[in-house]
Amino acid sequence: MVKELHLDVRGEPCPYPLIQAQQKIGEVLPGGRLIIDFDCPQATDNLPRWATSAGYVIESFAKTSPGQWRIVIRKEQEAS
Amino acid sequence: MMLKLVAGGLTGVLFGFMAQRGRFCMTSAFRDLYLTRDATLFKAYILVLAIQSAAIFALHGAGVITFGNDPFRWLGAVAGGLIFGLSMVLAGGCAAGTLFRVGEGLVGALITAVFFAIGALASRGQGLLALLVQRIQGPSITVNGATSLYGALGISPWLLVAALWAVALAFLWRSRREPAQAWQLPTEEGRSSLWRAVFGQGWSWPVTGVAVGLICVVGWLTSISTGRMGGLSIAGGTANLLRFFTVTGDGALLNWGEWLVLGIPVGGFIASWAAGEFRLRSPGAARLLQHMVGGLGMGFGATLARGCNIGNGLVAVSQFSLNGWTATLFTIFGVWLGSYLFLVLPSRRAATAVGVVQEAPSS
Repeated sequence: MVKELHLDVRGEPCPYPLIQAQQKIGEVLPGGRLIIDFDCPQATDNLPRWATSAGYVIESFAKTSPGQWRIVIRKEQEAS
Repeated sequence: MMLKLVAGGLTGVLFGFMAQRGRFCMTSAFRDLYLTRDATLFKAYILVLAIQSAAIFALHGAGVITFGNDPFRWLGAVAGGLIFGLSMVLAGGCAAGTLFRVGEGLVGALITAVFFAIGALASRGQGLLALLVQRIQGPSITVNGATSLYGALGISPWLLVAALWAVALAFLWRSRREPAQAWQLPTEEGRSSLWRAVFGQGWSWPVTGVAVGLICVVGWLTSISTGRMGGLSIAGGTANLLRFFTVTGDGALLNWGEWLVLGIPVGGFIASWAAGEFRLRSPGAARLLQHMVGGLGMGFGATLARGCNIGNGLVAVSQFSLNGWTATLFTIFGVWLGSYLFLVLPSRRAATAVGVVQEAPSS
């Protein structure tokens, strides 16, 4: 278990960014963060939709360059 | 030639544009029902069916649309649908989804598209798999002497149209109570509100459903204007394009359906480029191999079932064809089976492997 995890899934088409995020969040400690770099346009919808519905907090969501995004998901203490 | 180019090409560009902005992917629509219990895109799909079926039977009543011979080759529909669904999961997109993603700059989708064409071409004419396809397509039946769902049930097609609308309206009604989206997609400052509405983020499912539904109707009208009686269809056009480029070079092969297929990536490119989502990208070697196998299987399955997820899943289902309904139901089963085999099982295996490694230091 780690405090912060960085997941780089650039190049991976959907649904792999979401599947890998769902896996990796399990390795993050409560209060910790999962940082995901991705370039699948569909994931701009399905990643935040999953994160909010699973009870995580979207700390930031930014477009890093054309067709590339970074989302930071925080695992709340009580959400674990 | 010019009319076919404009009618088919423009329909393709519009379809590609709408599908890219609406993230309209039928692999996701079917897969997410099972994988994440998310019905967002499936609701858009039902809305598309409701709009298109009402239009088809209205235009049929007006004498604009005539229905051709539509035999119910049940074994072909079952086997083809299942293979198509399984392959779609490997390929990471349906026939249309693959084409608009080519326009987004996905090299993996381009590989799927080329192998889809190879699989489809190999399954027809003089192709290696053509005899096998004809064998499996052999058994055909009628139900109560009919090959349509309404004929088999002995009811008016409008009752079935009404049933689709009832489901679609129930989805729309319930969506009013869904909580507002809790996140905002990052967009550049200084854009007009119109730009934000179109390119800011993926469209909501009702907007996507209406847009794609209307394009399906436009597709019928532009297709008929060139003398082709039919709606949107991808598999045949994709196979013909490959034959045109590699075998004949004969412009007579380029009809409405071929220009449609060429138009979809263009529409996908325009939409993704304008939205700042275009980027050339490629997954790793293993994923590309997976796309090749998936593409081949999709081409074979679509030929066997006499339609891909568009020709069967969108158009034939809206016409209540027994062949189309059977193929689409088995496509959905195939997608679920494929999701389990190719997505759920590998991720479980990865999770246990991680668990073993992780347990030692943390305990």
